[in-house]
Amino acid sequence: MIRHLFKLIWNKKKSNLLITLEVLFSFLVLFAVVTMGVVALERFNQPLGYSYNNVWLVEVDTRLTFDSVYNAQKRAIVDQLLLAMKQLPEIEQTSTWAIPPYSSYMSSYGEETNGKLVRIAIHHGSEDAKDVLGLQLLKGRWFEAADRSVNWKPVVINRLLAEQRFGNEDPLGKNPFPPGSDKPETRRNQDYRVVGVISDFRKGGEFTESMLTSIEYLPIEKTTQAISSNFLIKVRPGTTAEFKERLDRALTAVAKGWSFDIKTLEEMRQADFKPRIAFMITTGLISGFLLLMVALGLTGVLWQNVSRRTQEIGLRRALGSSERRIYQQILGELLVLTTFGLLVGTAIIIQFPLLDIITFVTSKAYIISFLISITFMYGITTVCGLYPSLLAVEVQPAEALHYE
Amino acid sequence: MLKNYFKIALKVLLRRKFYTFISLFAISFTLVVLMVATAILDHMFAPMAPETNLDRLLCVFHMDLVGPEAQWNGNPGYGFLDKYVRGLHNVERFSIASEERTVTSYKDGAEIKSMLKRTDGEFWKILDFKFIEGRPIDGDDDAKANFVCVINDATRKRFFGDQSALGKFIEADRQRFQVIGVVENVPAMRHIPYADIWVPNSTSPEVNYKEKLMGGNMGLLLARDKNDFDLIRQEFASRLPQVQIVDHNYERMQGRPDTYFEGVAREAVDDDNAVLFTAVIVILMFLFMLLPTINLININISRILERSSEIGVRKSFGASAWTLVGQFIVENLVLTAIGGIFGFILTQIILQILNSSGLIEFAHFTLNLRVFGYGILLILVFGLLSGVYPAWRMSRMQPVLALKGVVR
Repeated sequence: MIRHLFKLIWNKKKSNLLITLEVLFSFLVLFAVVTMGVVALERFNQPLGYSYNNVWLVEVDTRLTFDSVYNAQKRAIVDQLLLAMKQLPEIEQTSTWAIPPYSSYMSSYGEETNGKLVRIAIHHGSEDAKDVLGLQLLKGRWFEAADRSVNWKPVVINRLLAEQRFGNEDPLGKNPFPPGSDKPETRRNQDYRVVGVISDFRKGGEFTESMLTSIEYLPIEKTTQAISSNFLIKVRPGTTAEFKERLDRALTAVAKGWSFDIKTLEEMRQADFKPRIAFMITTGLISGFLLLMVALGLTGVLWQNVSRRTQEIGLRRALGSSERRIYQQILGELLVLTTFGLLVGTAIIIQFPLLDIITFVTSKAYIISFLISITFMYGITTVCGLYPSLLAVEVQPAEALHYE
Repeated sequence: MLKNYFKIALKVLLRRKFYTFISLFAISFTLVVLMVATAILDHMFAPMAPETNLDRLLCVFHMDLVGPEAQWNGNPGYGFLDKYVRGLHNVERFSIASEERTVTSYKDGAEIKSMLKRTDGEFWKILDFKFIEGRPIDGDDDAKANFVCVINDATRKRFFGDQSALGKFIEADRQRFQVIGVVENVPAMRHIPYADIWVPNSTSPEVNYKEKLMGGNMGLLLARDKNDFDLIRQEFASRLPQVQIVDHNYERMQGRPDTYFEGVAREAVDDDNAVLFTAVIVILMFLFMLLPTINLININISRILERSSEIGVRKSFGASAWTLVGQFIVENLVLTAIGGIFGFILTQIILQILNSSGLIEFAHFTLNLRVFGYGILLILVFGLLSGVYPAWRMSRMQPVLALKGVVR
């Protein structure tokens, strides 16, 4: 049966080639969109490692970049700012964090190990940051005030980095930056020691992947010396936007000429979601219409195929083929064609993980998307074939044989 | 002859309505997507108010401060632009403006976030803002550090409702500015003019902004003629070695004035190669057209096969292959044109929805003449792409077989 179908298809390879091509491209489009959706869902359901509820960000713009001259002066102002914040009853806890969640910028450290670039996200936080962000400590401890005076550099890493770098060994006390470089200025040749392991800190939010992450100690009075100067504060539950103005007034009163941008993490999260979701909806809609168009086109082509083969089908009917056999033939031909297209598509899709071109998709998401797309393609083509094969079944043998 | 083809085309289209529907759906959908994309690109790059002089404008958006171990890439600072870029020959007007940054104001306990841009007086002469009331910031305001501002219409509504804003005060990041002018909203995707509030450069609270080589500003050079761009770039390059760098980590500055399009291209493809950027856009559009084109080719072939006996008759009576190809392509273009009309209408509707959704602030996408022209071009390309191969197949049919209705 199958061999027979192959022969029929081969005999009309020219027109079938175009149908196969159409199936192939639709499959590629569908796969891309489905992968996007599956990856987004997968990431969305993974724990962030922190909580954004009632956490506010105060971005500090000192207007004095690019010089260390003002540092002593800046230090004094920061002390006054901390004092001012302490007096506001709405603020439960104050900390500093250099690169806040949902921000568009990042800081990372990358070095080649065995020809492969390993990138580690670098963050800086103070003692209180763990409680403000609700980070989950798995092992060891968080930073403490005494860390200011040690002559080595304490770091807290996330589980992913601990597993990747140390496997089953105990990471505490070791340098998390991969060994092997002889450049003197690199982090790996400095005395970094892991003091604790947290579950995770996904800076980019729900739609980004978990990164190898290392957090370094930044005492709160050194806020303005970090790559970007921010306070992260935990406010009392139920604090409204009205508090922003009072906070801003209190801060500007102390630090003349500086400016402060106060945002809730919830606001930053919404701002981060908006373009991502708009992009996904647009892509989804366009691809949906694209596939609908392909489905209609395919139906049209199959319809025409069937009406051209009236005589052939009539002959089969006259020789005693059942309706079911005719159905099987028309749909079977179509499914074989689809399979051709899907095989080529699969061969293309497999290249990406094999050649390491796409690394941000987990193999689980890749396989799930693949299965969904394959099923969906067979579904679409079957639906497209139903009406034309119904027409084929309705062919009256007598009429068909009379054709000429 | 053409009139005849046209008549036949319409008749054929009406005969198999299902095919016609599929073709029209495919054509109009494809064109809608491509034309919405074109309208957005046009809105980003085409010269239009306030950037009416965009074709004569060079911009210094991006400079590199280079040292043996460190490199600082970013916007130029006021000091660099003021000391080393001002006074180039062949430049009619020169302006320094800051990048827009978020400022916060409070009104009745609610916060209002706006984008603020610091400018000089020349900025308002290079760009052609539409004033609803009042006057622009002038050189005198900048020289005397007057705390005055020009705001856009949306900001006026936010602060003062429908009343006139002239003479009233706005507090932004704890600085108080008196409103001297109100302009129409400028789309957020227009990087050069865009802001909600414009104030003089000299109101900057930064102590040493006049000394800084890097950070936060853009330089705008309005050339007398766009043919002078190369001369201006050469002179700009010749001034770079004179830059005095205080910081010991760095040795020299590099960079060059870009046209607006080159500037955006540099951001997008990390290269100042505008050709590459254009190529990327064209290739993306072409890839998108691929699937609809194959789909349409398939439908067209089916449509032809159905008419094989007609073709057989015409061939037997001496019609040449070329005549038949011509006929079919004309037919296909007619079909594409009809699909195009639906496409234009749908595009207009979608752009209206986009404009009113507020997804891109102050965007006002329109189907202007230029976009319309690109649309017609797209229709032609699409019609030809999907028509040529089926027409060629048709022209090669054997008359005898075609007459019998046997076709491979």
